Amino acid sequence: MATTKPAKLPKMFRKPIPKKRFEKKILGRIYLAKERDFLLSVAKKDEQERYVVSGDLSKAEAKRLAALAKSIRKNRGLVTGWKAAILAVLIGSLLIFNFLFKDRLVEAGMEAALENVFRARAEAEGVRLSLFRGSVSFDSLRVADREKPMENLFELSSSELRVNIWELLKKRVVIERAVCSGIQLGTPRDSSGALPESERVEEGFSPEDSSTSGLGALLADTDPEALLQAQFDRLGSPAYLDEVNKRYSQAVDRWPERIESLQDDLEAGKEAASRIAALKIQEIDTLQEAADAAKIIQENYPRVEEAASAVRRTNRDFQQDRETLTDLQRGVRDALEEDYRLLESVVADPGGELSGVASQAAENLLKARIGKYYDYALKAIAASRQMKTEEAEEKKDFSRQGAVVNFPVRGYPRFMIQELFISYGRSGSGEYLEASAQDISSDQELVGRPVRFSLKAEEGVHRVSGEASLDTREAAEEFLVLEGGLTGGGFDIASALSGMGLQELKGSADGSIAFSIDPGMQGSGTAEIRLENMDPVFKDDGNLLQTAVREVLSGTDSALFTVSFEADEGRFTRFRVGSDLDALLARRVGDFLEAEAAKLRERLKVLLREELASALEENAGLEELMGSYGGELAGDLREADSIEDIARSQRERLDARMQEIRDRTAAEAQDKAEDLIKDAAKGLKLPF
Amino acid sequence: MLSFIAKFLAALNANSRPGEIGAAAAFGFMLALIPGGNLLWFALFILVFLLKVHLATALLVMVLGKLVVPLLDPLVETLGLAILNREALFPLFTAMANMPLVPYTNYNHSLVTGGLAAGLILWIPLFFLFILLVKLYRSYLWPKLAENRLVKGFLRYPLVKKISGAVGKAGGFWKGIG
Repeated sequence: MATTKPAKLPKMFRKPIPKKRFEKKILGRIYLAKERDFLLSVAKKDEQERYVVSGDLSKAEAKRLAALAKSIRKNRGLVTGWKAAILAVLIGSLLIFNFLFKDRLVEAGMEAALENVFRARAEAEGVRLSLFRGSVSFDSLRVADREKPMENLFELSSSELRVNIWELLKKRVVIERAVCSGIQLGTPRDSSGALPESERVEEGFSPEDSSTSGLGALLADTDPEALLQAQFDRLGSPAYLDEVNKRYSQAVDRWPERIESLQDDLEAGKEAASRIAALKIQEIDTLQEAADAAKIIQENYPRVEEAASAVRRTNRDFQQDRETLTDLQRGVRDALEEDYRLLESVVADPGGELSGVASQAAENLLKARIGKYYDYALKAIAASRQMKTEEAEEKKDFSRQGAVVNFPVRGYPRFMIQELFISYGRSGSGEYLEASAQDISSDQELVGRPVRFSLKAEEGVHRVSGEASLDTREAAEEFLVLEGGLTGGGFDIASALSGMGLQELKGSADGSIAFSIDPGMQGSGTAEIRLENMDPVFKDDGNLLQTAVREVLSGTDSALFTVSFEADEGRFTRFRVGSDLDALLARRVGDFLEAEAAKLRERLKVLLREELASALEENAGLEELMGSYGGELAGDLREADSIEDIARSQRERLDARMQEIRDRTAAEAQDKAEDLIKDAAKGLKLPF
Repeated sequence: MLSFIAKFLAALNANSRPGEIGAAAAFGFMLALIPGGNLLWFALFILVFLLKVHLATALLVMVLGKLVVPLLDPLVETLGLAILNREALFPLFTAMANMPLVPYTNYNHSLVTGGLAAGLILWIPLFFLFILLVKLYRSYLWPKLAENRLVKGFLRYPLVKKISGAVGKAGGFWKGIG
């Protein structure tokens, strides 16, 4: 007889289970009524009130019981052990990953933070993080210049930062000490350092070409003819003279024809006048003869009047024209006078100009140099402001909205570099920099101190040292205060002095600069630069200024330049340079230049007259021609007056003669009438 | 997501503790209310992971909760600001700002504090609500579904079988059906 092997029971059901335990630990962990019923159906109570699961279970029942036992075990406790193990493994993996890739993560974080502050591309290489030592080091770091994306704002080589780990746990980046062994400013980049969203603002201080400055340009070119040609477009007389001559020519073309046409009228008048003049008035004896003469006068007198009137009208028009031309002619003289004055002003008083010649030559150079430092100061302020903004407006990590409520923190702000040391090159090599900064922070109010900078640098032959403080606290009177000095160094200026006729100027220089920028971003400052052992190299074009400067500089080996300036938002609003060299130059070459300038003025006048000679000659010829036309017209006018006088006289004489004839005829008729009355009276016989 | 749903259904139909599901749902909603990306969220998530709660349910509720939580943001923010700006709590929050690790929780963000507060307030009601729902489901709905022909037919489809197989335990979530 074959026997069936009893099914293997789950461990928890192999032994009898006390009632209390069965109900609490087993039944209490079964949440499905069906399953509970199933268990009760297979578990029977023994005589000790213990639950015993029978071993005579079918395969399906055994399987179901096994699943039930598993779910009961699963429903035990609050914490899952295997999950804790998984979590431990995960955390371990994360730590290992961090350990292996922490450098990469720090590199990315550092680049993002710097890009946020400087708003330009930041690239770090060879970044190493040591969490135990709390240090970060890198082989190189480049931060692009936001305003000049193809240049780096600065480039650091091997550097190490010691980070305060305790503060890092408080979400604050406090760099206790940062040492950068190499820094370079303004190095070129292979690719643009502009961030996609950054706005490029091409502003700032840039040197201008000083060779275009007033006196330098003028006296560098003392050829009077060239100077006249250079100024010719500004002169008014040539164009004016052309206009006057054009108007004269038009008049000269117009008047001969008109005068010619007048001659016909005049001839006709003369003929008429001669007919009137031919009348023998005294020989007229009868009224009939008088009437015949009057008829002749009546016929011819209007022609005489017409001729005279035409001549007078023409003469009046001519005189008006002439008057206009005369006025224009007077303007030629005025225009010439004006041009003479202009040419005199072009050759300005060299004494006055010389009072600032050296300053002018140095101004743009100094503007560029001082502007460079000023630019860096503005960039430092901008970076500080950016850090302050970041501190005030904590960056949101969420896509959802919401607001951040800031609570006061003690000790350190969110970001701080307590000590920063930067060095580059070797002292005396000409490329050396040693800079330090203390208390760079995102919240100076909390730190209670401004950022302090100090600098020692050599750039070529220049040695610069300076100290600055950047204070963005509310109560600060000045944002930035900088005091710097140029000591024991040389200078070598190979450009920007062409206005003084210098190709190069070498020597040694000492100087100082001090400026401040207030919270309104308005800055002001002064600088003093003393040049010594000057070694000028002159240009070879041999102009007047070069000769003068050569003479002065040969006998002088030092010069003092003083600068005072004001700036607003990155632009100089006032920049004044003064130099004792100016007075020296003025004194040494003033008289010589004055005489030269006077000669030049006279020569310019002569040249202008020569330049305008043909036009003036033409003008004179036209004027003369117009005069001859005037004379001709005057003759015609006299002739017209004469024939009119003759005609008028004849008419008056005829009128008088006719009156005489009438009077005489009347007297004769009266006499005859009286005689007839007398005769009639004699023959008459009265009745009484 | 499909896996979460399958595991949730499996938990409903298996012998799992209703409290596990209720707690998971309450924690899931809390995780949805608190914005991610900060230490508080991660700490809470690890707590949920370690506790014996139904993780799939928590993740499912969290994902679904994330869809509706933006609608609640104005209320959550108001609550958060009310707490953060409470003068009596100012010394506490100031002290927290100066404690190690605590600043990484972003507790000073109105949605974080508001979300945590709302999550804590809603935790107990949600916990008991889900327990009740599980019990009701198991007592009334599940037996009916188990006998429903449509459900049985649906479960016989090859695609449904395949999905059930793919989610592992899901094969058992319709235990007793079919």
